[in-house]
Amino acid sequence: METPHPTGNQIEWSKLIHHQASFEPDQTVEQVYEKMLALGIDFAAAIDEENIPIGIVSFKMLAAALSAKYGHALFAKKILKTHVPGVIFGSIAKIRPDEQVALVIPVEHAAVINTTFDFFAAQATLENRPKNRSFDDIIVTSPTGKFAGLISMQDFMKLQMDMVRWQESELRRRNLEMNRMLTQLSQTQDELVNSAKMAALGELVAGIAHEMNTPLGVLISSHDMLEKIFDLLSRDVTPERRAQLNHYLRTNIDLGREASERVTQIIRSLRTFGRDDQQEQHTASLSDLITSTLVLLASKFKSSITVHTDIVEAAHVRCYPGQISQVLVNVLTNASQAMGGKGNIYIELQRGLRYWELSIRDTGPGVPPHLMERIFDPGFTTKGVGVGTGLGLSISKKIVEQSHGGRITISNHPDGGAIFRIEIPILPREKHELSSVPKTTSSYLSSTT
Amino acid sequence: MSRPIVLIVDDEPLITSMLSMLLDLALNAEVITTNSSLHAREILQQDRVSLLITDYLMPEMNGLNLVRTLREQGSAIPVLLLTGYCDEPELAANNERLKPFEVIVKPWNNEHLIQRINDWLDNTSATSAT
Repeated sequence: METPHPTGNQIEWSKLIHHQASFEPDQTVEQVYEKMLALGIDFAAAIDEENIPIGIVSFKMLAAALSAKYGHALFAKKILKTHVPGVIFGSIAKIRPDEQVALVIPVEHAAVINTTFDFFAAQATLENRPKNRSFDDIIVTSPTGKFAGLISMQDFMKLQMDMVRWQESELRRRNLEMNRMLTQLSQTQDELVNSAKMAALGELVAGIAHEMNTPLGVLISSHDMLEKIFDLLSRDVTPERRAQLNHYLRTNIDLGREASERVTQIIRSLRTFGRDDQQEQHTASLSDLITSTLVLLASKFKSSITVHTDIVEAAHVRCYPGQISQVLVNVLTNASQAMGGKGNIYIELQRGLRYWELSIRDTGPGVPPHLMERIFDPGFTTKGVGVGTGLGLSISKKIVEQSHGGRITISNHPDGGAIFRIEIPILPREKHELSSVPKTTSSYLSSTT
Repeated sequence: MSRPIVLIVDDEPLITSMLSMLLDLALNAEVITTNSSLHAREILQQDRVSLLITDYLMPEMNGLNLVRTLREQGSAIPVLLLTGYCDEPELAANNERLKPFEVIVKPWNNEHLIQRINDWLDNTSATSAT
């Protein structure tokens, strides 16, 4: 059977109702008998002159009562209430006119089903069935308590089963819908993370292009010079001059190599930052990610920010490297902006028990205590219009905590400035390594041109 | 006649090495390099520098401030400022007051750069000869 889909008051089960299954107490026994026979129903409801149900009679009880009292059907033309008052009017239905639809059991156990005919209310009706007697039909009334029809208990039970099935299928459908929405939300969040990354990249592009300018300029200049040197070497020159030209040749090659490596490093950093690695985690070195992020920010920090690093080597983590780079860019950019583009940034990376502990401290004014709790809220920013999106730190929190099982917090340092602490879980196999981790300390001056 | 002294200051060693070699090869001049603008300021106070080639953005003191200091001290040493940030408004705004002063865009063209250096050195020697 097709599962019904009740929506509000449009209840499919109304199709199951015998709208004609009623009689008035003044109708004759024969009329009622004939009607029940014609409709093929076992029960019929007695209604008063205002169409209010006042009782119920069963076909069998009707026949049995008549036979017992009179032995035959000759008196069947007499009005019903004269002959079987106890059966019909032994109890009066309790109607709740304030309800839009009510199911009424014609005894003191009458129960009401609410307007939406929901499953739980229907269940309540069943639970209200009298325990010491059985009955097969239920009266259905209109919102004002007027007789609407009769429904057999069998159909009612079937309806309830359908309701359960419908509820189940509805639950499944809603579950699927919720999963779909969750997937969509997750995709939207990924897109947001990616958009923010691209926005950050956009802000970095000018600086990165400038950063590439230095090694590329050196390469161009070197190439020109090599041509010149080879030209001079092909001429008749003094041994001293030849030695000098050979020295220049060597130096040119060395400078060219260094410039190429610089370009390679920038490209590699860009690739790490830009990679779309949301699908799969990789093992990567936090130390390398910090270094590569500083390469990207070198020009942005220009001449006015000095970055001091005190970081352990390697510090392998299972991560989405592009996302971790994104967090580093966000936090470092935030630090730079908090200092008005001038000052010192201290980056420390050390090994904790279960986490790599990274701290990034600036020498800015710190965060006012009343804003501390809102710092990771999406859209929260203390910067002016057009400076940042206000999403960087909230996205960083999502990346660190949801995508990497880590933690990111902010506090004010006793010596001034704000300090971000980022914890990323240590790889399980590294947890058991007892050897101390080598450290590198440096003062990273952003290269400028 | 003593060789002119050209001072090159850039915080990027790649650049100072490259320029030093280029000038060595192409000019009859003494080339001094430093990666610190503060050190450059000291050199400028002590040595008879004929031409200053400086980077713009440097950590301790930027190229413009170095030239400003120079001019405040009454020095008229010609300055070539090499930069990739040629659109900086600060550069355009100060161009007139810092003369003799010329901005050359990175990446430079060797031939053009040498030509401009030679022109400024010739100017300087002509001025000092008169």
